[in-house]
Amino acid sequence: MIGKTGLTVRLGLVIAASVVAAFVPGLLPNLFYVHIANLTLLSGIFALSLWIIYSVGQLSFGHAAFAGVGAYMSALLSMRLGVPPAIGVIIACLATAGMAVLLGAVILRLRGVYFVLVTFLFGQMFTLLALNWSDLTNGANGLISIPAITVGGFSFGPRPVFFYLAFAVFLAVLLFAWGLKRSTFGRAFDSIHQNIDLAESCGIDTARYQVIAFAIGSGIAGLGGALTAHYIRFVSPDTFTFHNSVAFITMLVVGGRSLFWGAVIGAAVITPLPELLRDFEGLQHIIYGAILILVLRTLPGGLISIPSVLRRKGGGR
Amino acid sequence: MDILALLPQAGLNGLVIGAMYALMAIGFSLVFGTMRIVNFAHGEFYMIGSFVAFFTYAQWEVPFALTILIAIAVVGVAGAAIEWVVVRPLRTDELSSMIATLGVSVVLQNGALMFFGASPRPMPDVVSGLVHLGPAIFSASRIFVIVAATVVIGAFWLFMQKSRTGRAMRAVAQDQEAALLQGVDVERIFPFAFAIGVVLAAVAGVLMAPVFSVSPFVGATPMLKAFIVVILGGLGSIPGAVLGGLLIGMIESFGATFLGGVTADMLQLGVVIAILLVRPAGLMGRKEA
Amino acid sequence: MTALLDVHRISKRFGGLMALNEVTFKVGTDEVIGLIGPNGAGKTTCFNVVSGNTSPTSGRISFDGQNIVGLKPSRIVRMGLSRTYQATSVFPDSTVLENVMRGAFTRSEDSLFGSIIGSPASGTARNKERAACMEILEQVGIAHVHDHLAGSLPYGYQRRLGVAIAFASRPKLIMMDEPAAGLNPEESQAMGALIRAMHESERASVLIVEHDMRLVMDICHRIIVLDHGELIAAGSPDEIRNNPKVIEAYLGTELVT
Repeated sequence: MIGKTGLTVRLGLVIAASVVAAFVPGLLPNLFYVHIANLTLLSGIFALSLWIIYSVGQLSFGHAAFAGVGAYMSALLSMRLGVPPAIGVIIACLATAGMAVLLGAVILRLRGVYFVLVTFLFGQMFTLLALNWSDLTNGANGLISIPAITVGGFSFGPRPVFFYLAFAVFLAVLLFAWGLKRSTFGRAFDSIHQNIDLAESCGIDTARYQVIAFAIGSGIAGLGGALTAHYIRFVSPDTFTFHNSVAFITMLVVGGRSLFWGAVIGAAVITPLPELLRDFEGLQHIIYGAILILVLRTLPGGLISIPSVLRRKGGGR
Repeated sequence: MDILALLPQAGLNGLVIGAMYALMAIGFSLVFGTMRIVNFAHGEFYMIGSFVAFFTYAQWEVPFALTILIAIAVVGVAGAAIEWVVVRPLRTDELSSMIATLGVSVVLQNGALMFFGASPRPMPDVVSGLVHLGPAIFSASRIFVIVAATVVIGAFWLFMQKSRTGRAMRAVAQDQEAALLQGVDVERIFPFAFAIGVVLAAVAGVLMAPVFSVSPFVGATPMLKAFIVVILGGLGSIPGAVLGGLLIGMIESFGATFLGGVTADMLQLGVVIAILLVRPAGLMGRKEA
Repeated sequence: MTALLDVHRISKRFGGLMALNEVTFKVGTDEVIGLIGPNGAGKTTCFNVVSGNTSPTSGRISFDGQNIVGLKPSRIVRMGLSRTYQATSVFPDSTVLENVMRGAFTRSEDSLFGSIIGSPASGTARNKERAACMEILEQVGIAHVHDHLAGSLPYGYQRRLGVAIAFASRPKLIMMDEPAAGLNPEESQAMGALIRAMHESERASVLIVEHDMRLVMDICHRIIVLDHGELIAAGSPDEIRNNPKVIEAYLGTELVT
């Protein structure tokens, strides 16, 4: 319920999570696990940002493209213009959000299926541009040796160090999503999601809020993409494809769409999965798809709905 | 070659890919029109059709007509089964059903990858030789594709107009509740519609297998084009799918000939987004609420 | 008469069909007006045009002295003209109280930034809102289920909740589309009493589309009658009851009692 989780509760959780996180890189057996943890945090950022868009009842099938725009933009700013990456990621975030406002204003009349199709096409357009605008993107080869993020001479390049940066940004996005959920915006978003006509009749400017949600979500995706580029130090048209958009959607569905926690849990479950299934190369993606269908069929509320499903079953007896 | 020689070639190529896009888009549109489902696995049925053609026609040397029938049977049964198992329970939720078809697409594509490997396999032409039409010379295999696609689209049109099932489908597409009231068994129509929709994709895959090669990834581009075509022609509109398919085929062919392939692709996406702005329901679509 | 809502010669054409043809009427302050007519007369179209859900083909509409044609529905609501829908229209997955608070969205004193971080000022504003919305729930008689999910309420309660949501924005004029549809005679009568009571306590004008003639005759000061998209009569309930044009329009469809 709104209001129950006040400022103090959230501060306490932040401190607790930070203390636990402080030890994570030291406790993981090797750098590979740290890398997985970093990717999971980045996925968490993407899934949360997609959830923000979903919270007004829209589903973006081109979410990875916005991440890709942020990645290319920040990488190019640092490589071509010498902009410090720490500033570049912020510019990338804002510019991506701005782009989403433009696209959103154009497609705001489109609901449901049409919105999905246009975001899908936007993703295709991004891939085409990244492949063919070679002067800028270096085509299929992509951009290599992207500089790491440094602040005051301190580099966030090494994996265990980047972990703290990724964790801080993830936590900030999580708290933002949480705050948004309980804010006046969150109330408007959820009203639109549940009953768009009634929301309009409550005086809520539904078109405006849908664009706002789309811009916030896409902007955060751009930020996540920029962070990814400076972390893996490489970006190509294959880094953010339709398959990544599908993966983000899968995280949302498997974790649970009704609450932002679902996005977090989905990212935590789905991201390490390919690594765990490494021995079953080839089968890996099939299992991915099968999980998606299975969750939709048997647990439409996602993993976060397990407690309430169990309670209902227990109470039914 | 001079421009005058290029024009008829570009036109013929436009007709070939246009016919394929039309087949893809009709199937996609049929499924959306009757069931309100965006089938993200549509391209995989094209891919399956291509593989059926490769194995039956190229490997086992079955007659081509029989190849088409086998593809129709295989994909038809598979489509009905997928409708029954995956799509049916989720039909009330537009987004969930769409995501489920994404899952189907991932499973089918990677299943093909696991069994058949990634390398593209070439397939021989069904008919060979050249056809002289006035000053222009065309390859007979291309003309065969156009003729075959026209026959299939014609047969489909007859089916929708004349048969009971076809008319029931049109009724459901127009107004599901009214169709229910008229005694149409909607629950039985859905697997039919889904199966026929994906069979059309499979037929496109069979016909195009000699033109492009056969691999697990061949479905992606035709599906993307089918999306573009239905947005252009209007979701759920069959004539719109045919018209849009031919239009996109022509833009692509002439664009690729005179502007280069990438520019042609960008041009298409630009045109579609522009059309959505002016006419959100597409060229021939009905207005959506 | 100073008109709150001034509808002047509006027409709405759907393809070849004239759903509304040069309809003119006014609603004054502190009035309850009934809008009646046989099925397909254009009542709901008339509502949709006035509330901004669709735009008229021609004609002028002003509310509180300002033109409202071409404005977004949400903008019109913020000017003080609110509406309810024919079907049950609630936020099904939210609590009853939360539903009403959403109705009061435009009146909220909560700030965006304060509500994101959860500041004390935001908490105070919310408590105030909550108390005000509870009062509205008391008025419509469903305060005892304020913490239930709206979707789980019985039908009659959902209709009452719809009224509460619409009144929560403190409108100057509220348009109700068949508030008694699907209710049994007793519930319907209670709904009529509720609308009258809300009208009196909130000092809001009411424009109501309803098929239950008893309800309309009971609570309306004036009635306007549409048939085939045209206004065929306007007057007091007694005048309407005895108007031969009205009786003719309804002949064979429904009885004016």
